Amino acid sequence: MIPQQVDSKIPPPATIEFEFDGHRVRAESGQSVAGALHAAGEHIVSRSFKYHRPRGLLCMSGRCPNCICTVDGTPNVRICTQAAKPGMIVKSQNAWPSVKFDLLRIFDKLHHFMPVGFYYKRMYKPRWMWPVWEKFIRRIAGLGTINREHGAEGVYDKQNLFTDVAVIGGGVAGLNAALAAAEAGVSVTLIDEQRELGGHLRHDPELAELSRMAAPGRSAFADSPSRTAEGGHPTVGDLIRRVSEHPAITVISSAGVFGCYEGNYLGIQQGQRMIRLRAAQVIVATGCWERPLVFENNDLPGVMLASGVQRLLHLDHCQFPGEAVVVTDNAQGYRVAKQLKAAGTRITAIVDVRDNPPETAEGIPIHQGSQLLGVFHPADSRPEFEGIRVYRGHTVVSARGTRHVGGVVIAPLSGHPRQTLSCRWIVQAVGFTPANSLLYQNGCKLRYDESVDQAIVIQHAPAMYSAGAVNALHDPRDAVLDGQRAGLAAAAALRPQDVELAQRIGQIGLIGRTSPIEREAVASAHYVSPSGAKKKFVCLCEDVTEKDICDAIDEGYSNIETLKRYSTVSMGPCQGKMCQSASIAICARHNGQSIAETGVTTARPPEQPLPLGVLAGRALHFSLVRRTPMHAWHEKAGAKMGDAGNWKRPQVYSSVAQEYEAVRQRVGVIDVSTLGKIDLRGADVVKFLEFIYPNRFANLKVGRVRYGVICDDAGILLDDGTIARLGDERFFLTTTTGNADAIDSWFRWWLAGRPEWDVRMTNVSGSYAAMNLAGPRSREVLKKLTDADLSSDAMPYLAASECTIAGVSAIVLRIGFVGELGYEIHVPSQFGLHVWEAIMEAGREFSIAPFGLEAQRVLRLEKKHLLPGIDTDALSNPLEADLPWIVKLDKEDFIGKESLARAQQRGDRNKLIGFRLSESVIPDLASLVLCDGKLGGRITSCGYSPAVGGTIGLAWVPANLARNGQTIQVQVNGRLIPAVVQDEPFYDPSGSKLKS
Amino acid sequence: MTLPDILHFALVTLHFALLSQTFQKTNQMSFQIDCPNCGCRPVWEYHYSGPSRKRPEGAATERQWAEYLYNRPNIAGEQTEWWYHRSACKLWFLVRRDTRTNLVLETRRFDEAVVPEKSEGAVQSAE
Ligand code: FES
Ligand code: FES
Ligand SMILES: [Zn+2]
Repeated sequence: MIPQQVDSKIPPPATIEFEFDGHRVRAESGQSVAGALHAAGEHIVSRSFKYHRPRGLLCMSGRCPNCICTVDGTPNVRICTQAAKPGMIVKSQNAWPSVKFDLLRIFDKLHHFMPVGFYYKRMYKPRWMWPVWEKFIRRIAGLGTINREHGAEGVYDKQNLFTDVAVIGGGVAGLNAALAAAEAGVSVTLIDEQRELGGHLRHDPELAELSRMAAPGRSAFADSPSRTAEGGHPTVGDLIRRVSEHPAITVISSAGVFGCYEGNYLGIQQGQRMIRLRAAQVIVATGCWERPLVFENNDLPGVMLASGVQRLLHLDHCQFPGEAVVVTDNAQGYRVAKQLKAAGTRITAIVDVRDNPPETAEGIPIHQGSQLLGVFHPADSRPEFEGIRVYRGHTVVSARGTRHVGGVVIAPLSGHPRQTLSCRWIVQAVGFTPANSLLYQNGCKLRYDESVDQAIVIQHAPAMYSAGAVNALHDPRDAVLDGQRAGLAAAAALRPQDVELAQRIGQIGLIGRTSPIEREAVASAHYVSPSGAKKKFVCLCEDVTEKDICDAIDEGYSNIETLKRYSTVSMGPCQGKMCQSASIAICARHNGQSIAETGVTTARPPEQPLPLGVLAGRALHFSLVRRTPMHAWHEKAGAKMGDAGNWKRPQVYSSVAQEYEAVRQRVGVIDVSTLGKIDLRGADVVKFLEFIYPNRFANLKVGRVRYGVICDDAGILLDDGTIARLGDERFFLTTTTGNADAIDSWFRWWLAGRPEWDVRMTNVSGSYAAMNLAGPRSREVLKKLTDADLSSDAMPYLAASECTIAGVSAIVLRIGFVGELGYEIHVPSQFGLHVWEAIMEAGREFSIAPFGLEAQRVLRLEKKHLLPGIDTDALSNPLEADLPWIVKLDKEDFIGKESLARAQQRGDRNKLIGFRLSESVIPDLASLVLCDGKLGGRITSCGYSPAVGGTIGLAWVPANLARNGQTIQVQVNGRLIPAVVQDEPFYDPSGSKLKS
Repeated sequence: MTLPDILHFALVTLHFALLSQTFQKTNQMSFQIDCPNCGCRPVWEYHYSGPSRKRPEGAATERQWAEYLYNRPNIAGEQTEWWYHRSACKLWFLVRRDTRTNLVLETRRFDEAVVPEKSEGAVQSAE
């Protein structure tokens, strides 16, 4: 009886065409690219990394380096996991001119000159040769070419998810774990790296059938509808359907978990998306992959893993014309032989590494677990094994052929005598490597167990479970139960009260091995065939041979970690999946240690290579954009918008010159809604402000506003802003746009440590729209919109008042950042646009103009007003930043007092000064100031000043140069240009305009 | 002619660069913290502000100030530290954490009673 196909939803084959290295290849729809190439007889799909040897399909599951190609411009795509699509353009990599005929194969002949670590040893002598070599190596080595024109197509995005239980791996254990947990009432996310769920069962019908034979009495579903009427377990197809349809299970397929971080936080790559999944419990059911045997020429196209052969047979409906030899040490080899034979391949021989496979007088019983699949006689007359010879205690020594396997040399484990068999395919079924790196990553403790020939968990990390083949339960019947156990255990951890759950776990009981591991004590013969040949590849990714490893050990790199770094074994694209087991076995053998003593290299994320875009791509949909209430108006007025933190702000509307002129001559208005705004109330606000600011606030009268700077305890200037007193216990503060959040958090921190102070703080930054109306005619404009008395007596410079503007209650501060008569008007944001439009309307008769940040920068520079963070840095204190008057060291205590007192004692070292350049060039920001030919300081702001008719700026210079009238030298394009220090502001030094 | 160049290097670099930067940057740490207001939230919603330390009193010496301003204790073990729930409720609160394991042992507001006598209480400044 041939069990029915696992995959019941194969669409009727329709043919499509794609391109491989310039010629057309046909594919059935649903076939993988690699499958189609195999069917078309294209067996060389890549060239090896160092020696440019031809390489063909090996694992068919995305776990080896052999099928890496460039697909539609994206380099390093594994074509065995890519479905063929019409019109796809597939190009081989690492070959010139083509994979079929690669001139660089010359390196294969030169391997004598390229011993392990050759570039460390040879190429740096003479010294100047290394750059030459480096350039050459860079050109010929490497994998794929990045398409610099358009990069990778599409958008890289990010997704954040959470779940009760994450199950990693959609094989038989994972499916059962997911279903058991979901039926126990918790939410489950199942992540699987293949295109479809099912794991090994997808491509091994016999295993699939076997999975239904799990001891029914012990199943977690013993009394649930999941059991079929016949009493067995559901078929794999049914299981997959039930998992996919279960409302509590989310399935993420074609997705690899690349890291498991603290707190069960999983990093998952799905195509161009990074999914960050937070799981309360994690079940690792990642299974295992088959490992290759190390023999001479084991990298020839035509040498495949048994599971790769099965995938091609059953998933891609391919055939293997000609003869095949199977080398094995377990039942998998016999199964694949049978399946190949059924598909029309002639099996020349089965080479069984075991001296003594389980055998009876009648022949060799073929087991899968305890189930007898058949008895195999060397000269079996039964149709499925007819004509197959079994060589016991033999192994493969060498593959024959140059571009494809043409024959195989086999020998007893002693190495002699040898004999050659002719064949086109060498199929390897010599054991599995568990996919346990996520367990290591999250802190589980594992130990190599010789009886099962793999590392198994001896202590799990908190809230982490493992199930199935990673627990060395390779028999699907055991994996079914183990999965259910893990699923129930994870659910039970989340529902500790659920007694019934605990009972069901009890019913499953201990998972034993239904069948013993069918291999004798593990000898290195299971990893490496005996022969002294040179081209025995351990690491296919990096072209590292057995000899390279032994040489490296002889040179002293005997520890597995140093061996890895020196020889580069297991450092390739597959991250050691194909070579880790063998390299450890060789290292153990060569050091005379056991495998357990040799240990493993540290498992770190990423578990598989990731496109950089997946990590670095910006999650645009997660980033904040803030627009002021007047944003639409600015856009309509044709403003050029720019970024200021998260904010969009108008840079310029018409031109800086016109806007400047409007403010200086008539009236202008700028949107300053982005300022940070803080409302402070309470009996202790004055005390708080006295403590926070170096200036004095106890004497600030109601209805007045004062400029202030904030320092930290080291006396460094952090920010500036205005503080308005609107009532006895009520203050309204502004901060700069860029520091709004930092100052908010700064205030909160100091308040958090003083819960007994009566200070109530509200961040009202977003609640108020604000605009600065400035210019000689601004009073006249504002007068049209309010009943309040705006005269200089009633509302002098630095007055703060609450009044009604255009029908809206507003806070109006008479301050002058730009150096003109001006009003900073704060209104509730929902009225921002209304008030703005009212001002524009009222200002029309005065030819009012909106102005942007660029004009404001010039206007304030003429007044020598500094911008914190631009004109100051992490070493600037207010004494040196030309604000000594603001520091009141006679106050009792304030933040920064100690440091500022000491700075004052010490005297200024550098000083922020204003300067006038003698030429009309505009130096770049951060241009150097030189004194006596030596570096003295730098420019922090500069620009053309219409008031001065030349270039002005602010600069840090040594204190001895900071004297009015002193000449300093500014370096502009390599030339020194003299500039004159000026103490006074460049515009309206007496401030009469400001105060008018 | 397309002789391929750099991906191998990129892979190795990726391995190292990403491990050391992307995954070890503090804002990429994956542990979670219980905000006294909001409950359990991922760590990148918070801002870390160092261990809680005592601000020197008015009569402190220059050495004490220098110690406070420029030196950090860098404890391997339990410490009480300030965290700020930057992306949500904006609360500053105290976290007792084992710096070796990132295990959060306790979170509380400044004025909440100290639960185990072990924690020496948080200090921020002299008042
Ligand atoms: S054959 Fe595609 S990755 Fe191994
Ligand atoms: S075979 Fe891939 S790293 Fe060695
Ligand atoms: Zn919070």
